[in-house]
Amino acid sequence: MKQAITVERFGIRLRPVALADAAFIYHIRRMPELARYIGDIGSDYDAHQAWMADHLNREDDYYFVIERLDGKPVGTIAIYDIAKGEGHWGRWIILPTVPAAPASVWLAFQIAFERLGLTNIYSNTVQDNGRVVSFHERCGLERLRIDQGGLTIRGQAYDMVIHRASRHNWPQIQQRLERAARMAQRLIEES
Amino acid sequence: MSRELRQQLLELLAEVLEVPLSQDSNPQRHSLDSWDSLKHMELILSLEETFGIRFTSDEVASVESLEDLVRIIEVKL
Repeated sequence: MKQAITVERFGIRLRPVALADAAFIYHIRRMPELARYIGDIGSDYDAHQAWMADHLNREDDYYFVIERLDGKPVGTIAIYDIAKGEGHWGRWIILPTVPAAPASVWLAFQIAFERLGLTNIYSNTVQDNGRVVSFHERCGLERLRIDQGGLTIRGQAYDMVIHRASRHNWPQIQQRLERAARMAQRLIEES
Repeated sequence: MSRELRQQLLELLAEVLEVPLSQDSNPQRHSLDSWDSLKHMELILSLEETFGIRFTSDEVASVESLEDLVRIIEVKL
């Protein structure tokens, strides 16, 4: 039975996505400055809603809205394909003006390791998305391999960097994220 | 003032991002992978501690280059 999980810290909250979030998620996933490295998605809104409903119904899929504590949504993040104590994380997208990246990853990993009891979670990042690859490695994720041509976006194949975060190195990851997350909290609360 | 400040900021940027930066460079966020969102927050925190200043959220979001930092900090000193 899938748990209803809501967590908050560092000035943001992760709460389960609902179908009422469809318009926000449709919008943010198609913002030109954010959509460059998102896999092919169509423009049909009904298809988007069906895609969301499918994910919300899956037992192995936790899809979260990242929101400010006043309830304003600023992004999404997900833990999915959960099986045998492992999973993936992704669908990570945040409005460019909101510094919620460190805190949202901190909270998603807390859910993965401390609530869901996962041992490892993996991420797949387009190698050309250098700043996100850098973020992952700065916060202590282990680079496992590169999947050549692992994702096709608008007809172009991209190599994917596969990273792993483990429950074992979660304390180190927390340390690396917390200083930035605390700084970002002040900025989010002041804005 | 701005030349000395620029040099000081360049050194701090190189230290936080852990990358070598030449003296005549003007590092830009979009062309420097190591200037990711995690390091951006650490950079702002280091600048606040070093200069005893505070950035607003709009200022933090607007920083895209070393020159932007020089412009913002010069006004605060």
